[in-house]
Amino acid sequence: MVSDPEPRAATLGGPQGPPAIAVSDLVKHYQARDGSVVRAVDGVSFDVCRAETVGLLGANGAGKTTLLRMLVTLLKPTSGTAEIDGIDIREDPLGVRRRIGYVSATTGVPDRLTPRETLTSYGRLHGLDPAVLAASIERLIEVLGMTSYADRPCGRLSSGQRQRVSLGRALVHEPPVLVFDEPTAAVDLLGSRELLDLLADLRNEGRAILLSTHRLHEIERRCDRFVIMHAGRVVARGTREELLEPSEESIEDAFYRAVAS
Amino acid sequence: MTPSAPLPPASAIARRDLLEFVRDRRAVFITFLLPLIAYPIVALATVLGLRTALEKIDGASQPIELNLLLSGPDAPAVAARLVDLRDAPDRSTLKAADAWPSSLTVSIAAGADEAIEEVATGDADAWVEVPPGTARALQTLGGATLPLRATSTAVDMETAIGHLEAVFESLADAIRRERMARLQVPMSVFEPVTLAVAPKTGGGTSVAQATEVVSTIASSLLMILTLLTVTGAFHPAADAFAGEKERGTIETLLVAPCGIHQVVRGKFFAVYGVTLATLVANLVAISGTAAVGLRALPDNLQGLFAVAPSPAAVLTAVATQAVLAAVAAAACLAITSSLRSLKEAHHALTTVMLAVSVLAAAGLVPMPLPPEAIAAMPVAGQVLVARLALTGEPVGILLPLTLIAAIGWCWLLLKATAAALADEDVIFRGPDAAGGLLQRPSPRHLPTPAQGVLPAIVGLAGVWYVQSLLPDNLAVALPLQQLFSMVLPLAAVSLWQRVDLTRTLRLVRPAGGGWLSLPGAVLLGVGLFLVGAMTIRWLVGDTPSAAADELAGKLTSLLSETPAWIVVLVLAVIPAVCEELVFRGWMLSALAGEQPSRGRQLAAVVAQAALFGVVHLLPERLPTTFAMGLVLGWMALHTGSLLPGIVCHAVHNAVPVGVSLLTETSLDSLEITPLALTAAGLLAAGVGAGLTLLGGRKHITTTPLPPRPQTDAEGGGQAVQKK
Repeated sequence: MVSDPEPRAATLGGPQGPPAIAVSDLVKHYQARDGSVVRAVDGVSFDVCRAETVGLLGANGAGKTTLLRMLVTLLKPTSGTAEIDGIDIREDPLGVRRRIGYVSATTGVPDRLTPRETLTSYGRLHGLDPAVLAASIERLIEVLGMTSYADRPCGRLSSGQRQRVSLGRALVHEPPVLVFDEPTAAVDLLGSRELLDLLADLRNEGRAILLSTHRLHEIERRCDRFVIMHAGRVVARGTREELLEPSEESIEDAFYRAVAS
Repeated sequence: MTPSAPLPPASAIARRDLLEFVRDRRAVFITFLLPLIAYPIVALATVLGLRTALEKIDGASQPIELNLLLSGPDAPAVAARLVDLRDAPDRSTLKAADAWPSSLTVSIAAGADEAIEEVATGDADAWVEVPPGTARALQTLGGATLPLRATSTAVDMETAIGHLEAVFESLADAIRRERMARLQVPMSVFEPVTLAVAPKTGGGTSVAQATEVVSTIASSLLMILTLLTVTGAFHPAADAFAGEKERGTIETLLVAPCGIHQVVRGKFFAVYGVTLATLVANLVAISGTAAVGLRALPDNLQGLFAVAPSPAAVLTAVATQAVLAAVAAAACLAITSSLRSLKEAHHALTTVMLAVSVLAAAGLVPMPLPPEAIAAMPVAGQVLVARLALTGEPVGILLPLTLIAAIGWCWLLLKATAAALADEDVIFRGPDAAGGLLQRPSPRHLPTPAQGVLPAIVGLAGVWYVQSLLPDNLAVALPLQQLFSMVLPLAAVSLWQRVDLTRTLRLVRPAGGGWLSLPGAVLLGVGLFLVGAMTIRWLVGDTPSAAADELAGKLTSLLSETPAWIVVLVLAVIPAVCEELVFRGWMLSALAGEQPSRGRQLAAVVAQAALFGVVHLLPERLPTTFAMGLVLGWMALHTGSLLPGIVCHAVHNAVPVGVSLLTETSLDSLEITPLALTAAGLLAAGVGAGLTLLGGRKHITTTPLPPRPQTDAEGGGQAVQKK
């Protein structure tokens, strides 16, 4: 399977240029306790361009997290590969990590550090020049609306505030590609809306965003395209308009149909 | 922020961890203030204990005034003799004269009732009944036994009895001298030899005693210092990986653009930093406590200052403790790297406490091992060198040896930590065994590193417990020993953790078909035996240890009583097969893991060789079995097969049997110089290694995937038609 063959309109602020994420027949198998082979991800291909948000939809256990972990080089693929901003995840995982920002629902922040210290420590891990890092942190604190709590310990922040710190951490090295695994799962409605607004801004800045979720209504109007996964495979993909049948009203309908088939 | 160059990732990680640690006030309090409180308490208890003990000793040795009551018809005669003796000017020449009471009063009771009353009221300290006929017996050549009926509660009974015994021993001596003079027999008839002991000089503690006290105090302090220093590593080590997993921050660390080794190094710097700070806090507490506590010491122990350790000795001890802190930090990281929560980590760290206690004790008490071997051990080596330095004994080569060995241990432990972090199952797995204790874990291609060393450790314990049950006949005992120490533990562990056994145990043909590696293995086996035998002779000379001597004796009798093929089977083939399966099969595969880097391969080979040396339980053969383990490990990795290793190992074990059978003598008795044998061994080993090298190298790859079954849903991912 190769990358998405369908042409896309290069609108202002819309998808641009060659794919920033190019997933090519990616496979990940595990051995289960009973000795059988679990095909967590089973030959998945798609791509995401710059200035594009792609929603990765799937029920729990569809293989979304495994797929994303392979893209951020936390897991090694069993076969197939992917390129992040032109870098192969198998050949140069460190190069991939320099170009990618990753936030998951389970991502925590250090309780005893402040948001500013958290961002500083991750900026240092990325080897950023101290002056550049300081400027980047000030900008992120302002953009992400963390000014009022930038010097309070993360352990005292609300879930929404913590998730913003997490987002700041993923952005501190200015990655062109962002991967989010259920970023709104632990956040309330208001926090979730604010977070998605921020993601829209990031997309408009020209970043490629891959966003996995099973809360379909939240992202229905915010993604340029969708990839629907079921049992480790891609069962449907396209824009909202491409996916919806005439009788269907929302992406949820298209999702149920794709999964059921 | 002041402008400066970007930090290396390891420093950034260490800095972040240290900042988090410092913010955790409770942990800081426990880590740094505990020693500051603990040592004064220990010192106070020691000083109070010493004072009490000294007062008791002083009290017991102080002479008291004794009022002795005699009863019975012959009491006046005995009383008169005692009074004469008391007042005699030459009493000091008599036996036990120096243990007399400060003053002795002798009085006579009319009867038993009066005596009892006087003792009860404290008027008399002790009542001795003088049996009838005693006076006459003493005048002639007879004897008498005088029962002590009671002592007063007003005096210390032991002290009173001690003085009474002295008084009556002096009386007996005086009477003896009188009789000898009467019979004109010189005293030398009965006392031909006497040891004259010069009286002790001065009231202070002698230098020898003081050194002993310093040695005891140094040992106790070293034990407490070691344990408290190691506890300093606990909190940061538990937090380093298990804590990060619990908080969900480990992923963010692992997606940082640095290798796992940088992460491990950063974590190690942080844990080591806290452990070192703990050591410093302990040293400050010890110094402060000593400065105050020594002033509170009783006067007669103040002399200890005279033999206090020199600054150089203290520096050596501190240096070794600093190295010990590094080993402890690395060990705590290795143990907690695969755990998922702080609770699991703290539980696992109690085993470190136990291991450190045992190892520290090995460095403090006499052991049946050469000091060089102990110096190379983790914890024990550093404690040993610190103890020797503090007690003024020469340290010599042991100091560099223990420092180098500690660096090696740290390297191995950090490699193990990195191995656990690189294991996807270990990092992302769910909780274990929801279905009960006996539910087996998910199958893996290769065992985990921990599972890798498990058979050898279980086997070591197994052989310890069964050794007393094994028969003397080696033809039966050796296969049984292999069964309990190798086969059964391996079978149990491989049954529990299902793995790809063909790959794990390297049950494949050697790379290149084995045409060169197999003859290479034979030559290498012969060469290794010769070089090993000569090395042992050079190391231990002609005086093997008792255990080695006993084993040699049993082997000789085995050779004389058993058919040759059974001897070869029992001594060479069975051990080679079993040990290669466990060490170069199961353990090496587990330690090296999937697609190992060169560093990881080296660490795996060194670690399995070290355990291979240890399980042979013969200290003097440790260097040669370790070297043998290295060669066999290299062979297994190079050829990708267990077969050349088995051949090499079997030939190595069979050479002495062959020599004995062919020449009816041992290698030592052959008329060939050790130099010639060593040269022959090196030549054979070199040619063997060369052939193995030429035999072809196994490319280490991941396991091919299981075949993908056909399913109905082939071609998933089609685009839904646009409406």
